[in-house]
Amino acid sequence: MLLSALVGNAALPDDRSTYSRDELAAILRHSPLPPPPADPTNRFADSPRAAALGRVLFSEKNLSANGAISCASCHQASHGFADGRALAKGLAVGSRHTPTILGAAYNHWYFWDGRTDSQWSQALQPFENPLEIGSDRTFIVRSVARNDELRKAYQALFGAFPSVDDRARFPAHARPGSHAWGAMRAEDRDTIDRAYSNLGKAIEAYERTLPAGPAPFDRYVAALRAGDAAGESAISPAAKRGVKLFAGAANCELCHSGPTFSDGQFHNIGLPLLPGEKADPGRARGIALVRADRFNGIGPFSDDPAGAAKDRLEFLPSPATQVGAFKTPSLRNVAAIAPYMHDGRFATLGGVLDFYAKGKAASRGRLVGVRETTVDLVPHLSSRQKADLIAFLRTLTRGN
Amino acid sequence: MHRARSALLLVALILFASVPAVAQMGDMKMPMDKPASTALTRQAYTTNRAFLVKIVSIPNPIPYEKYFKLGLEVYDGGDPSKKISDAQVKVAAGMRHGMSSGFMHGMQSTPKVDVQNGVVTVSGMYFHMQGPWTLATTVTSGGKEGVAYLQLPCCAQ
Repeated sequence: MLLSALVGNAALPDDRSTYSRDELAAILRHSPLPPPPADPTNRFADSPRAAALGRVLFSEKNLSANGAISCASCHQASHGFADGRALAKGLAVGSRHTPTILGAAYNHWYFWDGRTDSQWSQALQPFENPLEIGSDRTFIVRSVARNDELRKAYQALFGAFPSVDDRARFPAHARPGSHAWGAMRAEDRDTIDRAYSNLGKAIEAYERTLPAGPAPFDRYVAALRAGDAAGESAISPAAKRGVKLFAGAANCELCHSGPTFSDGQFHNIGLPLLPGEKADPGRARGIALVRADRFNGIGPFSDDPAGAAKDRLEFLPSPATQVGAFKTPSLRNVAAIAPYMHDGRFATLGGVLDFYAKGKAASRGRLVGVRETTVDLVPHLSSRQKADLIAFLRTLTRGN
Repeated sequence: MHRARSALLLVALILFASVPAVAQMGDMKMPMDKPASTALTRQAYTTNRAFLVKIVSIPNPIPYEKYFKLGLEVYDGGDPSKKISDAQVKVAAGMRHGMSSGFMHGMQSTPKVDVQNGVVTVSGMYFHMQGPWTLATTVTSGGKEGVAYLQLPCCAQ
């Protein structure tokens, strides 16, 4: 201690020399995590009042079919805003794993298959999914209208709440696909959709306030940038070996890139179907769904229909190339959100790394679509290398 | 004398080293087992040498995870001074490791190709991985078809 006080930080070895130029560049690209990008499709995205309303809606069980489920049922703070289960369970068990909403504000596409293109339009779908909240938009809008607190909060943001009391025009329950919805006048359906989309925008505003970082890894990178050798002790030697592998020889960097550790795109990594598991077309179906989504970024409820969302929807890839592809998840907070993969098949990070380290042998069985050769760029990993990578991944948990 | 011999040897070595590179310019099908340069390829012949494809506009550097446009011109492979204005052009892009699957999992976008006054504008290009990308440009004109491979380095951040 005395010695270190005498010589100061300058005498300590600096980690930068342990990385190649490319590894160091890749590591620096991962941090810091900037503030979430603006969402011009939602002009209330960064409104504190919208966030306050969204927070209430996020936990409001009375909007569900059985009065017992809310967004917070599956996005639990104690599980990194996921649920800790392999497969999501709302009113029933679904076929995919619940992704965390931490850091969701950085995405361009939502759900494992990217079937929505904004955080607010994502927030709307679980309300009507019969396996999740199982409700319907007309019931939800009418419920908010009847709740003084929610209605006032809504009106303070979005203006007068529409009159939806007339049961002849606004049935108790109606959603697209139902007979009751089809029987409504187009203008009344628009009235419901406008209010419903605003509720989604409030939920997005709340979710954007949930921070995905910073984590010990960010402190480490800040120290690297500053040449602060003492600050480089923010992560362990094993984690540093893991960082080097991640950004270098293991090629994780190709898909898990940038400050979110995700390219935000979709990949078919060759996960064979599990016994009894149905073939999931993934992104191939997501493309059709996002195009058809009335709440997409170029739709009538977007606040910026001519903006970046237009390009994203115009240049969508061919669905035929995307069969069995799922979104690259962010690795921020990854240690807190087990299990892993779109179907939650791996209980631990070790299981995930075993899969990648086995190469093609891990993809024996029935595949959906065509496995990408990108996966083959991950080399065989020894037990120690896997342990080092896990040590590194644990440094991505916020506040650790 | 010794110095002159060394210079000759150096010239011979440079010429020898450049032979495969020159050959590669004519046929941009890059070997998968050798590390490729990461530099931008400004022009390349189609593999059958029927056409020469030139990049006439491209952002420098190419943006990361953002849509961008590039401009191409097509010339007669037999007479590279002769511009072909009525060529039909299709593009696909991906990283080298995806070439074996025809870039099936390459670029996560479907670019639009527009030809006006002999300039081919490709919009909707989008790179989401760092490293050298390959643009496969399929040219059809006068009953002939060929594919030129151009390397595009990714990316600025």
